[in-house]
Amino acid sequence: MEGLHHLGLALASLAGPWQIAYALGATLAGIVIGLLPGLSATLGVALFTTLTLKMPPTDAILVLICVYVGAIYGGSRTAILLNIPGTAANAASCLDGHMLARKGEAGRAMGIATTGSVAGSLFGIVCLAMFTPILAEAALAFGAYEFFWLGMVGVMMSGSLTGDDPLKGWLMGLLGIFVATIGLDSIHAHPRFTFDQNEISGGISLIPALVGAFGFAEILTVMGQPRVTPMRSTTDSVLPRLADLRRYRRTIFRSGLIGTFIGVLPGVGEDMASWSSYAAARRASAERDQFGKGSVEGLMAAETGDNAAIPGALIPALALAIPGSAPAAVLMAAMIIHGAQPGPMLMINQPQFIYDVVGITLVATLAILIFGLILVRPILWVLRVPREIIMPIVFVLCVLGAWSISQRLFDVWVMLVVGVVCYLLRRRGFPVAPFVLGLVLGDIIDKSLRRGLVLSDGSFVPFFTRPISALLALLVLLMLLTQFAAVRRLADRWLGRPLTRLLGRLAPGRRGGDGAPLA
Amino acid sequence: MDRLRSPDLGVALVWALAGALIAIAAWRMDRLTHQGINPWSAPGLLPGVVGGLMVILAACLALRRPAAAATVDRGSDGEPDAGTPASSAWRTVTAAALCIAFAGFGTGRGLPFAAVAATFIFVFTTVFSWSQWQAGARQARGLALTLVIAVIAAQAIAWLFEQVFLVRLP
Repeated sequence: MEGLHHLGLALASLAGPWQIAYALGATLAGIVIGLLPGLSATLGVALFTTLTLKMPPTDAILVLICVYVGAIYGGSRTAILLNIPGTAANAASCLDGHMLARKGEAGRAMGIATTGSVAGSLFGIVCLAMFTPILAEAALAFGAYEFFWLGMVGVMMSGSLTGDDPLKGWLMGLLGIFVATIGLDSIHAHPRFTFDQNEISGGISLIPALVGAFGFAEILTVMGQPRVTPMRSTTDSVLPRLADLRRYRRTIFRSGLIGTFIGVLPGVGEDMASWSSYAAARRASAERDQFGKGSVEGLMAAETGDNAAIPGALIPALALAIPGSAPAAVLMAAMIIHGAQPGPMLMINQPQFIYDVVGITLVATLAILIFGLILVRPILWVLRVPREIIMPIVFVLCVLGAWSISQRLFDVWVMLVVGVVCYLLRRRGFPVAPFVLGLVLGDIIDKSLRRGLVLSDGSFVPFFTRPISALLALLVLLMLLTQFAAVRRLADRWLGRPLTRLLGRLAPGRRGGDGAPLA
Repeated sequence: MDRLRSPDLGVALVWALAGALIAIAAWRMDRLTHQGINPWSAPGLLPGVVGGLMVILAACLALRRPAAAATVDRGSDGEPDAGTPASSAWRTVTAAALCIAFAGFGTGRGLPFAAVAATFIFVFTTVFSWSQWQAGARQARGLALTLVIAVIAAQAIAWLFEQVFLVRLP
């Protein structure tokens, strides 16, 4: 009952004219960001973090969550019309969405994407409201040992699941942790890797680094790729069909469940949620031969899964301060900038904040429904603007985004260096998301390791003997061991293939779930 | 022999070198024992561990067989990435050079931000659109349109940040 009271207060505070205007404007901006190939939800949230610095905290978080939800939804348009995922989360939607568009059913495909996105988001929001307070309360028993392993699980899992090669993902995670240690250390204020430069003493700021990794690096990638012309056959109705909702209700429920669960896993994110939902739908479907050839069910599963992962990713971010995805990591950093303290104490110090986030996510979901119904064709105009015009404008925004946080040219250089390094590493198959998780979780890992060792007087035993620590340590060990083929075969036999794959998959082309090809 | 060598050997060596440098720097970092601080809270502890792990993982990357190392080259978070033929590499290098010239050397030098940004947008768009304009014999129209877009976009961005979001421009 107390939760409902908080939720009522949150919704009432979001009903003002300014809040509605912010929600609609930010969702529209998010959809446009998602539409443009190369611009990700992470970049959108990072750029808008700098724009919302002077806003009241609730309004700022409202804008950021609307951008996040809008970007993941908007990416489906590009997947359907261009066969290019607008964001990584929409890659699975290319398979059936674009095939539907080629059959002259682009409007129907967009309607299905809207239905799936809204249903997935609503499912995730219910889980967000129900499980965040429970998880936060349970996490009150966590100490330095548990937080060390939670941070490590986040980085390891992100490394295992967001790229094609866990080894490369882990290296990127370690790089992120290292970069997070640059500057004054958070226990003794001792300078680390600063080379006596005052500007480095403050550390490498998250936002400029993220704008470099997801903005500048993306611009270089996009400019190196050949041009793609969008399809223009959107003559059929874009209105979602109730019959599709009824017919695929089981797929929606299953994909919502999978999407939310994958979202909760630290650092994994929406793209894995989308692929996993798609693979599960294909396994369970009576029309599995239609998957990849324009299956409504396949598109519905992919879009439900990725949008359900958004509230899912916010659950550990709010309750444990361990984000479930790269955009959630930026969002968590923005929450801290705006005075909220995600983590177990949030439920005690700011219980209203959790329900504010629930209410905001609900408003963002309603906004994508509105835009999905009434603004499909005008929004698609954005896709016709040549990238040669869009990309320099985006880069100007990246420069100002990096500059705005502290108004230092040093941050602009951080953005440039991180961008070039991330671009070069990506060309060699190193994923960027684990780097972000390492950067965000580096501080918590550093403090927890050292505090734990001080408490135990240098003994590593409590890191492995406390029940939750032992469980998390076992998870890390399993992720490491499943990289060995012999162990993987054994685990396949004992745990079942899906669980083994989730713990640490290696095979190239694995994103297609059980053999589904990539677009 | 080449078939037994990991395709990631070169990049693994770079990672190993970086890891070793981090570990050495962390080992040489002040442990603050003269301040009576618990040695287990030494600032170099985590960077040292991270550096060591980087060396170990880089060694695994360098030593594994080519079949295990085969990966699909994707963009961030698994987006498919195009190959790099010469024209693609030229476009990427040109884009990088223009962006670095604008952000690193154009901004913060006393020139009005809107003017520098407009110049950057104009030059960037022109460089990448010129061949297309030439093919359609519409260079003059392209240049004029790009100039208008560059000036309007730069002014709008500068106004938005300065007047609405109250950010002092570089």
